[in-house]
Amino acid sequence: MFDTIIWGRVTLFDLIVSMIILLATALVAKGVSLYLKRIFKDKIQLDHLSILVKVVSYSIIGIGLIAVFALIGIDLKGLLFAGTFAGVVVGIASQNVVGNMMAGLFLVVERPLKIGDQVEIDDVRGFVEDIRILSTSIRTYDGMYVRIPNQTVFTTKMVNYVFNQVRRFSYNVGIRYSDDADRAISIIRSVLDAEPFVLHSPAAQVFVHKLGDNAVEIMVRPWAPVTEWYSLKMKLLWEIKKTLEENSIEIAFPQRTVWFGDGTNPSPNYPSSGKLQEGPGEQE
Amino acid sequence: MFGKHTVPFVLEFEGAVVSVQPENGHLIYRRQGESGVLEKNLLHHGKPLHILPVEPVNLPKNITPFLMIEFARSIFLGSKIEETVYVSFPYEIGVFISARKPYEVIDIFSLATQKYTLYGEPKSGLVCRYWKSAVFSKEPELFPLREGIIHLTIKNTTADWVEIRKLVLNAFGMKIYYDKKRVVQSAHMKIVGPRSAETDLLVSPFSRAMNKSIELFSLRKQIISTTHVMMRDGI
Repeated sequence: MFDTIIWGRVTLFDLIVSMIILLATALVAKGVSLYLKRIFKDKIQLDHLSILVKVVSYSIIGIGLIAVFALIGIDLKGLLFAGTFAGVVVGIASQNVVGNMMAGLFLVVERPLKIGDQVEIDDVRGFVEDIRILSTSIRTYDGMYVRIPNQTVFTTKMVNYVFNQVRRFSYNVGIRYSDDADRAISIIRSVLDAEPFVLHSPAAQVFVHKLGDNAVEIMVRPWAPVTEWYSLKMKLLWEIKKTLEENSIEIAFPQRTVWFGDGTNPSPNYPSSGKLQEGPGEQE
Repeated sequence: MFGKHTVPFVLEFEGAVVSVQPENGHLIYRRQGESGVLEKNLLHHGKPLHILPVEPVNLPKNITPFLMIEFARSIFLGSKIEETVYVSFPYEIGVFISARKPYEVIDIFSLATQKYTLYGEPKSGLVCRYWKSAVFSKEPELFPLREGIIHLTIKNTTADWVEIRKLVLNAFGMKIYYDKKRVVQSAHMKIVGPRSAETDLLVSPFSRAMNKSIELFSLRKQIISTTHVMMRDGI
């Protein structure tokens, strides 16, 4: 009975198998769609999710149809030729669009950035406002709207300033050579300890980093939550400066000691050489 | 200090004065402290205010629900042993107004020091409110307006001795109780590996006479999926 010819060389068996394949394909497509919706429900926007689900679902159904065509003897060569030609034409015409779309899909899957993140892409810095299927929009720090094609987002170097939970920033604080650097470090540490958003761990680093021309340079490297680091950075340097000065430690500034050719000497502690010299840079 | 207060009133905390006084026909809520003066008009005449201990996750800014308590001395615990210790925790003080329910928070302040830390790695770790505590074998007497007491049960389910240096709790699930002398809560820590543990908060006052405080997260109608924390980055 299964050998009964239905049409051309297609038997009843082929027809039943084809229907089972189509049914199975539809079920798999539905299952994968539901799975994708559940996995990405809270991770990507609904419109993006809808596109992703449709692309994957139709792809699965397409594969099922090709299998059924092969089974029931429909020659795909003609379709293949027409499809190839159409594909070349459409592909040339829309390679950028397709490229951006694929890059958009990869961005959704890889998730190097999300809405609200602070990023730098292709020399544009700002907040991610939206990630669409073809482009990503950025609101720059000075309030401008910039649309960047997803292909650019995907292929150029991107810095996500808030990808991790915490980040470090640094200051270089220059004090006079006459000041006690150990005491300055202790005072800076007390300022950092008093600030809630300077993290206890990873601990801040405070150390003499350089004996400069004009100052003993102290490096200050605190860690902060990514949501708070910039407001902290704006606030903390001035706090450090004020607290150091309250404790009679001054911020050094560039200076030069000049020796006059007529033998007059600005400081009795230095021998007169009768030459112009650069001093040690210490602030008097 | 904690509980319902009929207006007008003046209360002195350590370093802060909280008052509600009539001025020009209005009731003025005022809090004076080191950080300055906060004033609010209360147009809900004559209704009492509730001053209660709340979860330590609001000040200076609500950026995390997690509280990490580092022990001043680490705890060594043998295999398959369950022990109870007491540690301190910071809390904040909430001022609530209500005619009936729901309560509305009008001010939150704290006398405890505020510090944050990272538990785990920068990419996947947890930003936590940080607190350092001694470990007590019996209920300690602490500064009651600055710190509360956690009744902590630790169970070592592993086959080896473990060293415990810290505890991470989900402050959004805190059940805080208070009486005239103390602010308390209970928590459980189950050691499941040499570097990992599960922690959870328990609904358990130290005595039946204690009052339960208001949970801020429930006031804000935040959905809390879980109150337990899986500590995977060290204990």
